[in-house]
Amino acid sequence: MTRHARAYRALVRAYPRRFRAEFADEMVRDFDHLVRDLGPARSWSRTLLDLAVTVPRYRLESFMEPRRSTSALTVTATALAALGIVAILTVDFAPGIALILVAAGVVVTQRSRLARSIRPPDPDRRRRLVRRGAILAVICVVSTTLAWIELSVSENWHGGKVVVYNALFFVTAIGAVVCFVGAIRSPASAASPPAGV
Amino acid sequence: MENPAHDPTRFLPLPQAQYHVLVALTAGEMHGYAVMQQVEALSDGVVRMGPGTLYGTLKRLVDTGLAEETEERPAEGDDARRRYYRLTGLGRAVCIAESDRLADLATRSRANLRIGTA
Repeated sequence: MTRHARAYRALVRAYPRRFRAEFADEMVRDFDHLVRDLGPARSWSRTLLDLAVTVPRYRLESFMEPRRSTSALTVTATALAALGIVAILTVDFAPGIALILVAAGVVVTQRSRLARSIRPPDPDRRRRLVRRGAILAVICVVSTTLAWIELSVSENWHGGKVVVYNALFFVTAIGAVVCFVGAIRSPASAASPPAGV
Repeated sequence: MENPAHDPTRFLPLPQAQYHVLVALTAGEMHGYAVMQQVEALSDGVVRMGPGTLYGTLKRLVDTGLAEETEERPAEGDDARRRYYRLTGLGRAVCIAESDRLADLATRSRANLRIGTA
């Protein structure tokens, strides 16, 4: 390997890990060919510009990668919404509403046009949302059933338990509906196009 | 009912880099460096891709089902370590749709410019 290729390999480390694992060897090999065909000066001027443009872009895409960003932001939004409901039921209306508004802000940011334009395509989105919605729906039904059973056999209900069951019901029910609506609006997987298209 | 994911117009307008790579792959399956050279040749040297843009674009095309990696090696003596790519049926349909769209745009543009200069 030439010293130019070695230097380029060191710079390729700036790309996201998954992209690097998939393409680093090919990129370095192609750069080596480029140096041989165009000479070092032209190869470096082309490649440094390429690095300056693509490294931040792929880093951002990696950060917005559907599984990672959607999961992290969804968990954050759900936790904030649950805390908001609990706050309304136990503390006061104002802090609860504030938390719910922050949760809504997180969801709006996550679903924004800008976020969607940066996010790489996710062919499994529909399947993933259906699976997540089903899990939330099951949790909602089970927790509500448990609450009804407990309510029918015990009269010893204290505020904390009511709050927890209510929060669980609202969060899982809203989450399931959001997931199912998202799944309906997502295109089906493009992984296996029909023959002869 | 036809799957909307397979509707070529859903991909339009294609980003410039993706369109150039698709056009390069219409010549047949090829490895990354050959795609890079083909893109430069087809654009008369106007579009010059670096390795980062090229493989990011190829990854995007593969992820969206417009191109695919192939195990076969088209020519004897090709480097076995190289990864080869080719168009899928959907990729071909999208390339045709984007070419038609651009041709239509060029026709309208020329017509308007002629009217403007008349």
